[in-house]
Formats: sequence, C-alpha cells, structure tokens
Amino acid sequence: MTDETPPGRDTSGRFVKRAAETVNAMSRTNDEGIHPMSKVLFGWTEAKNIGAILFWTLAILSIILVLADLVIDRHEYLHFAESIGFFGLWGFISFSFVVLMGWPLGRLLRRDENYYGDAGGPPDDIDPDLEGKPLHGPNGTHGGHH
Amino acid sequence: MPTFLTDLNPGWLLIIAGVAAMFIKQRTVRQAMTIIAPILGILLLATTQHGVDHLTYNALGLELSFYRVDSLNFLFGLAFLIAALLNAIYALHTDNRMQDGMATAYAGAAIAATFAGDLMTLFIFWEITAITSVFLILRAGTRASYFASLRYLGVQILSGVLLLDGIAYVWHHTGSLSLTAFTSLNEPGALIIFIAFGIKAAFPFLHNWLQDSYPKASVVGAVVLSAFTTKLAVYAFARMFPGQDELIWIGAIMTVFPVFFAVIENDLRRVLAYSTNNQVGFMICAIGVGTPLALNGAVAHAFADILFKGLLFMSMGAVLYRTGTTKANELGGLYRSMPWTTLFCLVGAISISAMPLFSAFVTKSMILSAVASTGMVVVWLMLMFASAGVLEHSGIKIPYFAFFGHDSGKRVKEAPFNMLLAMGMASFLCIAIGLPAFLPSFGYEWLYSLLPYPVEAASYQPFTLGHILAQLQLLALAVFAFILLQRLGLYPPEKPGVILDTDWLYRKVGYGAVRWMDTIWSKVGPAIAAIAGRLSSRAYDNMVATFSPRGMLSRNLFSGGMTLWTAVILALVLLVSFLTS
Amino acid sequence: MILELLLTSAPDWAIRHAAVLIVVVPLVMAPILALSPSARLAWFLALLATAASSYFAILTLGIVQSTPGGIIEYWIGNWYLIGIEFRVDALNAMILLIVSGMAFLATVFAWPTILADVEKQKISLFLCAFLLCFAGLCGVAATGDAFNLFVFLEISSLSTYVLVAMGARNDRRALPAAFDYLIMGTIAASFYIIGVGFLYAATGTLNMAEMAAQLPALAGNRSVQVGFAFIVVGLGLKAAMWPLHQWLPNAYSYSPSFVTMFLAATATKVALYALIRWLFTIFNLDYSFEQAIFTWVLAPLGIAAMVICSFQAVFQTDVRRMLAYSSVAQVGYMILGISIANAAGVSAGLLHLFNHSLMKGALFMALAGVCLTYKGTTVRDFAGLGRSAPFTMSAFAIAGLSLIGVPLTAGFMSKLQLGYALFDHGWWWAVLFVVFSSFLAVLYVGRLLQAIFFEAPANPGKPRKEAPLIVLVPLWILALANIYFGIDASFPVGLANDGAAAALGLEALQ
Repeated sequence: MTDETPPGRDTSGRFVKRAAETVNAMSRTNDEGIHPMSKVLFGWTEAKNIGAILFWTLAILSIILVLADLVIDRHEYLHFAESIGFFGLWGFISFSFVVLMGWPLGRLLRRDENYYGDAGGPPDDIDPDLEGKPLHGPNGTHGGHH
Repeated sequence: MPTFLTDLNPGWLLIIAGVAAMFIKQRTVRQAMTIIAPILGILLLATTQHGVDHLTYNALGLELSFYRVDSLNFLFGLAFLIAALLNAIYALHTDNRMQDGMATAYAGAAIAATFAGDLMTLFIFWEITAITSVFLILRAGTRASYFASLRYLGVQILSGVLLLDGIAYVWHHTGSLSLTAFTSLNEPGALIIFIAFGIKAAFPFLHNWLQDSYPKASVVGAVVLSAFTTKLAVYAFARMFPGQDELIWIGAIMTVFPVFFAVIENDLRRVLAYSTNNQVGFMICAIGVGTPLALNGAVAHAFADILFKGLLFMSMGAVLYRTGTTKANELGGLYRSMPWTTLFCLVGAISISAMPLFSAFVTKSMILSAVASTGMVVVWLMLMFASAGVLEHSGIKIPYFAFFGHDSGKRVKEAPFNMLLAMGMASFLCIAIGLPAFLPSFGYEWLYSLLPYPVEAASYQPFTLGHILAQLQLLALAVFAFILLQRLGLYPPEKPGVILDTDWLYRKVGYGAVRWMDTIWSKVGPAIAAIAGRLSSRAYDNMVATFSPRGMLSRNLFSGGMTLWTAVILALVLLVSFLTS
Repeated sequence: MILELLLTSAPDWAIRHAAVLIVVVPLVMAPILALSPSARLAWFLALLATAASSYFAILTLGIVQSTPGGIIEYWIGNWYLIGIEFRVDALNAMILLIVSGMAFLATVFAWPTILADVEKQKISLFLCAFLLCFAGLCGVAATGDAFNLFVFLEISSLSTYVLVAMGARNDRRALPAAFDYLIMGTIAASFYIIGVGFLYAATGTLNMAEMAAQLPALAGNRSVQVGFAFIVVGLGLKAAMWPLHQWLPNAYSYSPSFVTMFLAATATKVALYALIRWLFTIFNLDYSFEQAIFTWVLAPLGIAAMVICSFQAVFQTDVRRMLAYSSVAQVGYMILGISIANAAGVSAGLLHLFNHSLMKGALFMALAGVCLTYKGTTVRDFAGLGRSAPFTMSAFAIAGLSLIGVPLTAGFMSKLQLGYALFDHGWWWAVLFVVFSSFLAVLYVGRLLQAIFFEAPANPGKPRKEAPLIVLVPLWILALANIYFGIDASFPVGLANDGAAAALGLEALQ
C-alpha cells in the first residue's frame, strides 16, 4: 500500500507508521520480562559504579548548596535558622537519626508475621493471570467465628 | 441553570450514581456512570454560588442545610471530586459492582459532608462515609481483611456516635446546629466533638484504625480510602476548631511519631498509611496555629496531599496488582518491568518530599512559615524533622525498595493502561500546581487563588531564593545521608514481620482482657456460690446428703449464687440508707 | 382525638369500671379457657380477652387524661379504706397500655408458634396460664394496695413458671430454668412482702396512698428503712436489675418462643413500674437515704448492667441469650434514668421502657418466626436468612437498629432523652457509658445483621422460609411503630412525661 501512495504524502505516512511501530515496540515487554522503556528512563541506574557516582555527585551538590548560603541571604522568622547550612545540617541529622533508630525499634517492636493470627494473602482483586495466586480457599470465606 | 441543578449537592449526585451503579450489570454503563458523575459534579461545583444555603429542610424542629459552599470547603470538595474521578479511572480494569458503587458513594458521602451547612447534616454523611467505606476493605476478601473491616467499622461508628453525642449536647445547650467554630474545649460538647473528629483524623493513640485497615484493603480500595476519611476530618477541624492551641502540639506529635514506625515497617502500603498520618499532622498543626496563612497552608496541603498520596497508593496498588505483594523484602528491581509506574511513583515521591517545582513545596512552605512566625521553636523543629522523615519513608523508601534496590527477579507486565492513565493524570496535577506561575494565575497561583484567604495567599511568595535554597539543602543532605548510610551498611534491612503499634492494646491486651473478663464473669458467680456451697455443705453435711441429689448440685449452685447476690445488694441498700439517714 | 372518639362512644358501665375490667376480664376468662374443648376456641377466647383488656386500657388512658386530677380511684365493692383500691394515674395507664397492647399482639401471633411448641391437648391450659399471667401483670400495674400488689405479683409469677416450664418439650433445660426462676421469684416476692410487713407495722395501713400520707411523720424510723430496703431489692430482682438478673437469660432462652416474646415485652417492665411507684410515690425524694440509694446504688448498678451485660451479649452464640443479656442492659438504661431522680430522668426511663417493649417485642417475635420454620437459634443458624426470609428479617433488622439507637428509630429517641436528662443533672460522664454501651450494641447487633444479610447459609439443605402472615402482621406493626416513634415521638414522650409527673406527684408537665 505505502509504495503506491504519492511521494508527497508518502513521507508523512511512513513517519506516522514508523512512529506507531516505535510506540508499539516501546510498550511491549520482551521475553525476559524487561520493558523497553526501562532502558530509556532508568538505564542510567545500571551504569557501573553508579553508587560511587551518586555518592560523589550528592556530596558535591551538598557542598555547593551549603556554600551558596554564604552568597544568598535567607530571611527566616527564626533567626537561628539563618546560620550557614542550618537546613542541611538539620536534614542530615534528622535523617540519620530516623534511620539509625530503625535498629533498636525494629528489635523492640517487630514480631512474627502471624502475631495477630493469620496474616492472610493478597487481596482478591489482584491480576488474575498472576502465577501462584491463591484461589478462593479457606482464606476467602468469611467465617463468622470470634 | 434550573434550580434543581443549582441545589444539587455534587456529593448527592455521586451517592445516587454509586447506589444506582450497584444494580447495573453492564460493565460499560456502570463504569461510565462512575466517571461521568464526578465530572458533572465538578461542573456543578464550578458554577455554584458561594455562601448561600442552596437546599434547606426543616425536620423535627431542626433546620438542616444540605448544601452550602464557601471558600473553606470549596477546595476540599474539588479535591474529593478529582480524587473520585481518578479513582474511577484507576478501577476501570475491574468488574465489581459492589466496589464501583461503594467507592463512588463513599466519595459522594465525603463531599456531601464537606458541603453540609449544619452539624446534623455533617453527622449523617459522616456516618455514611463509615458505612460505605468498609466494603472497600471487605472487598479484599481475606480473613485478615474481614476482621480488620470489623475493627475499622467499630472505630468509625464510635466516632460517629461520639459526634452525635456532642451535637446533642451542643444543640441542647445553645439550641443551634450551626457550624460556628468553638472557642474552647471547656464545655463537654466541644470536647466530645473534638474527640470524634480526632478519631477520624487519626490522632496519636487514636490512629491505628488507619494502619490496620488501609493496607488490608483491596488494590483499588486502598487508593479510594486514602483520599477521603482523614481529609474530611481535617476539613471538620478547620471548620470547627481553627486556632485551637491543643491542635498545634497534637499535629506536631502526629508528624513525628509515624516516621519511626515507617522506617521499620515492611509492608509498603502500611508505610503509606503512616505517611498519611504524618501529612495530616502538618495540616492539624497548621489549623491549630489558625492564622490566615496557616489555614491557607492547611487547606492547600490537604488538596496536594489527596493528589500525591493517591498517586503513591496507586503506584503501590499497581505493584500489588501485578506481583501480589507490597512487602519490601519481596520486592525490588521492578523498574525493569514497570518503568512507567516507576516514573509516576517517583513523581509522587518527589512531590510529597516537597521538592521545588512539585506540589508539596508550595503548600507545606506556607505551613512552615506560619508556624515559624508564631515563634514556636520546638514545634517548628519537629515539623522540619518530620519533613526529613517524609523524605525517608515516602520519598526514598517506597520507590527504592519497590522499584530499585535489590533485584527480586520478579518480571511482570506493566500496569494496565487505565492505571497508568490515572497515575499520569495525578502526576500531571502534582507538577502543575507546584510550578511557578510562568503564566499569570497558572501553576501554584491557580491553587492559591482558591484558598480560604485569597488576599493573604496572593501576598505569599513560595519561590524565593531563600526558600528554595533551604529546601534543597534539607533534601540534598538527607539524600546524601541515605547514600552514606547505605554504603556503610547502617541502613536497617527490610525484614518481614508485624510492627507493634497502639493497636496491640486492643488487638492483644484488650481482646484478651475482654475474653478474660467474660470467662471470669461466667466463672465468678458460680465460684462464689461454690465456696458458699462448700461452706454450707460442711456445716449441713448431713442435710445436704439427705436432701440434695447429686444432679441438683449445679442448680443449687446457680440459685445459691443468685441468693448470695441478693443478700449482698440488700446489705448494700441497708448500709447506705442507714448511713445517710 | 381517637381517644375522645372512644370515650364518647363507650357505654357508661365501661367508663365507670374500665380500670377494673382490664384485670377482671382475663381473670374470669382464664378458667373458662381451661375448660375449652378446642384449642382453636381457646386461642380465640384468649384473643377476645386480650383485645377487651386493650380496649379498656385505652379507655382508662383516655379517662385519666380527661380527669382534672389525672387519677382514677376505684374502691372495689365500695369498701372505702378497708377494702382494695385500684388507683390509676398517668403512670399506671401507660404501663397498662403497654402490657395489654403487647399481650394482644402476642396473642395474635401466638397461634402458629403454640402449635409448634406445645402439645395439642395442653394448649387450652397453656393459654389459661398465659391469661392468668397477663391478668396478674395488669393487676400489679393497676392496684393501689401494697398487699394486693403482692397477690397479683404472685399470680403472674406462678403462671410464668408454668409457661417457662412448658418449653421442656423442645429443650429439657427449660425445667431447671423454670425451677431457678421459681426460687428467685419466690425470694423476690418474699422480700417484697417482708418489706410491706415492716411498713405495715410502722404505718398501720396497706393502702399505698395512705402509706404515703403517713410516712413523713415517721422520718428516721429504722423499720421504715428496712422495709424500704427489702422492697427495693425484691422488686429489683423481679425487674432483673443487675446483678440480680441471672434468672432471666435462662428463662428467656428455654421457654416457648411466644412466652419469651411476651415476657420480654412486659414482665420486667411491670416490676420496674412497681419500683418507680414505691420509690417516688410512696416514698419520695425528701428522704435523704433515698437520694443516697439513687446515687450510690441504683446509678452504679444501672451503669454496670449497661456495660457488663452488653459485653456478655457480645460473646453469646445463641441469639435468644444475646437478646436476653441485651434486655438486662436495657433495664440498666431505665434504672439509670430513674436514678437521676427528677422528672426528666424518670420520663427518660419510662420512654425507654416503652420503646424497649416495642423493639424487644419485635425482635423476639421475628425470632419466633424463625424458630417456626428453622429450628435453631445460634448466630450461625441465622446466616443467610436475609435472603430466604426477607420480610421477617427486615423487621428484625429495624428493631435491631432501634436497639442500637440509630437515628430515626424509637431507640434513638429514648437514648437522646436519657442523654439530655443526664446532661442536665450534670452526669455527663454517664453519657459516655451510654455511648459506650450503644457501641457494644452495635457490635452484637451488627454481628447478627452481618450473618443474616451477608453470610452464606450455614446449612443450605434445611428448609427456611418466611414466617406465616399471622406472625408477619403483628411483627411489622411493631417494626413500623419503632420507626414511627423514632420520627414523631410526641405520643410516647407525652405518656412518659405525664407518667413521670404522676410518679413524682407534680402537676402534669406540658
């Protein structure tokens, strides 16, 4: 069909068709279960040394932002917050504190998954094609025992 | 427009559509209704006149006002309608009459409650939200969700009953049901209403119904639930208790404590439930401050929260739909299969972290400025601490453990198109209201122009160099801390397990105590009687042997116990009357 | 308006003797029934008797409302002061109306359930015992003589033991239940008569009005106080005041379902009436010890009943026991209302009494309808009934919601009035207990409704169908009354206000 269309419309027609084919290809998961868009959007996360790159990028960015405090005059209602790098420091301390508290709190508060009785499986309305999805078994019936 | 349309509360429209949808078997018709109803609702709301009682009714001597829009509730209602629309799109891949109908009716009830013009109407729809929403939890169909829904219903009804109790008191004493704000909590009516609202807003120690039920709801159910109940309570507080000092501290505590739970929680939907707590805390704190700037911040943040929290719940719902789990230790590396979901989840995560150019930045900075301007240093520091916490659990933990991190090896399909569409629309709105006003009255200025105090809002500038710098510093160093701790191996690993929270009190201790009391009670009466019976049997051994066949023993015990109680009560009555005459 | 029409159309003798005829008609009819050769005839006669009593009760109410003082004094045989007086004011009139009205509805629906529960040749005797019980209850409510009250109390009690024991055909446990009830009822009656004895010794009269007139002169008299204590405990036991309620769950659970329904709607109510009469009309609030009893004994016991028995109801598996414990909890509400000891409180208690007989009557009636077709009364047996018996179960649901106190039902109105009375009295903390107890009611009623309407039948093979029409009609009358009085409560509120005013000796509240 495309061969017989006049050359003037041919290019745009082929362009549209190619675009459609690209979209189609980009939205079809391949056999290994990898979505082509993932390469486009997040391929960079698979780079070698991504950890080190991110670490140093953020380290440098943080330093720049703190140094920017020297240049930019912030006006805060609370004057102590105007000190250099206050927000960065507070953010760093808060974040680290929260994460590190996870260790003792986890030990203190974490219990077995079935602590309150049967934890139950996933809800009924998950993907019906999902392998190993539990059928309506004893979990699915609403027994009225208390 | 004809009066029957101008008088039509959009919430009622949704309730009617929802109830009707439950009886419609044709999937396309039903789903069209659930989508068209909120769109019509938005049109109705946009054209309605503010500050007028559109529909009133006099029943039992009560003057009820069913539909009243003003600058405070307009934005809540609009957000609820948008959420209802997005939820309906998100649910398109399912075919469940009960869920479609109840989700729409639940949204409608929340909207109708928002536009209620008096306390009694507020109460009626307050209860309907409780009853309709429970089906969204039940829909999950698991045994755990069944019991969670019972607990949820119990707590919600308790809130409603308390509210009614408080309303009855207020009405009895003032003879008015009007929605005028209370000035103090000293009178019992105000206090009871305060507690009733507090339950729905998930105040600390009253919060656990939320973490208990939302993560056990169905895929669609959790998304629907996340939008309405707590934000309705926020509206109720903004209406009835603005500037109530107690709220400042309650809100501040509410922002801080969920952060710690969210770090160790394994179920990512439960992490989001804690995150809801934390965000509502910001709004409650701002309502407590009560200045025009603070109230603007609370309302704006509620609007933004409905969008980005809904978006995050949607992305986790998509993960749950495709993989069957939201447990962090079972997930990871999903960006390979679900790149679009990952992208939208990141938009939600960045929005909730208040990154400049995203929605929470323009809303939360109002709250923070308002708190700082009161000079309450500790509260302000708590809110800043919680902001870093938000970044931890919603900004990093959710996307990192679901989509990046350790590859779980799960290779699944991308989320269904309707889910992606709903997430895309929510992402668009999250970014759109966070942008600077490149065109006048677009971007954040659009949101600001709809706030309860538009004049004050217009004079507030979120995009100053100082604000941007402060926020970027906070975020950058917090993310740096994450990477640092991750590299040092100090980040706690995700482990499966249940995290104890205050629900332990009623799910273990309380339940046990009630069972215990029941057992004891059914034993104590006979036991006391048994002791009495044994004593008497010693004294009158021969007589008992003569007159009481063995089979009569239990009956004797029974009547004996009762008789004993009779004697006790007689003695009590005699004692009291002798002592007091 | 209907009352006026009835009053003008009633014959002269009916108006003159109405108060007595309420009691006399069933009392005379009872032995005739016992001799009746046919069960159906006996039922028909019982129907006539209860209908006549209801008619006279309505007439009495009309007369009381149109009499200036609001009191009918009827000296039997015109033996002034030495004879027995029937003395009816707004309080009795209300109770008489409830008892006779419920008895009439109960008799209407009784026929199919009696056929199922009682052996054919015993039906006449069974109905005879029922009429005696009914006459006794009306007598308690109508008489103005302390000793005569005892006599009627015993008439009703003795026949009740028989009625409860008749349940043995279905469940042998009815026999020990009846026996326990007999022992406790006898203790109650004995306590009462001991108390009356003390008071007679102190005042020299058995007429209630006379006694009330003489008592103020005897302030501080120990024997008066002892008499008071015995009477309160005796009547409290009959009224199933916590913790003297333990006869009730068994008696309600094992007796024939018709008896359960009738007792639940009337028996404890009458005892409670007698308690109110003694506490407020014969004794009164001028006695300091009575105030103390209200605050330190009755109110705590009422609250304990509300909370503890609601908890017990939550954990029951048998629906009849669940409703029985709920009844004790509801008595707790009424006791709490009374213990406020002012017109508003007593009125709230009376209103709840009225509404409670409506809702428990409907609940037990629906239950009886279920028992007819489907022998089983556990919560599991109720699963899925909403689909096979929608009419019976919707009426059940309405009454259940009323029991919770959902707005637009009668139960809501009485809890609201109780709440107002408590607030006005400054006992706002007690309102929290009321709320908490209602919350527990949500749990146990909700559990039932959930089973009825949302669960699949536990035993699909068993036949289950709608209750017969003769059950459905009175059932729906009660269910609709629950809704009607939830929307327009002016009639019961008026009755309760007048009743409370009469009890407290105030001018009628209007």
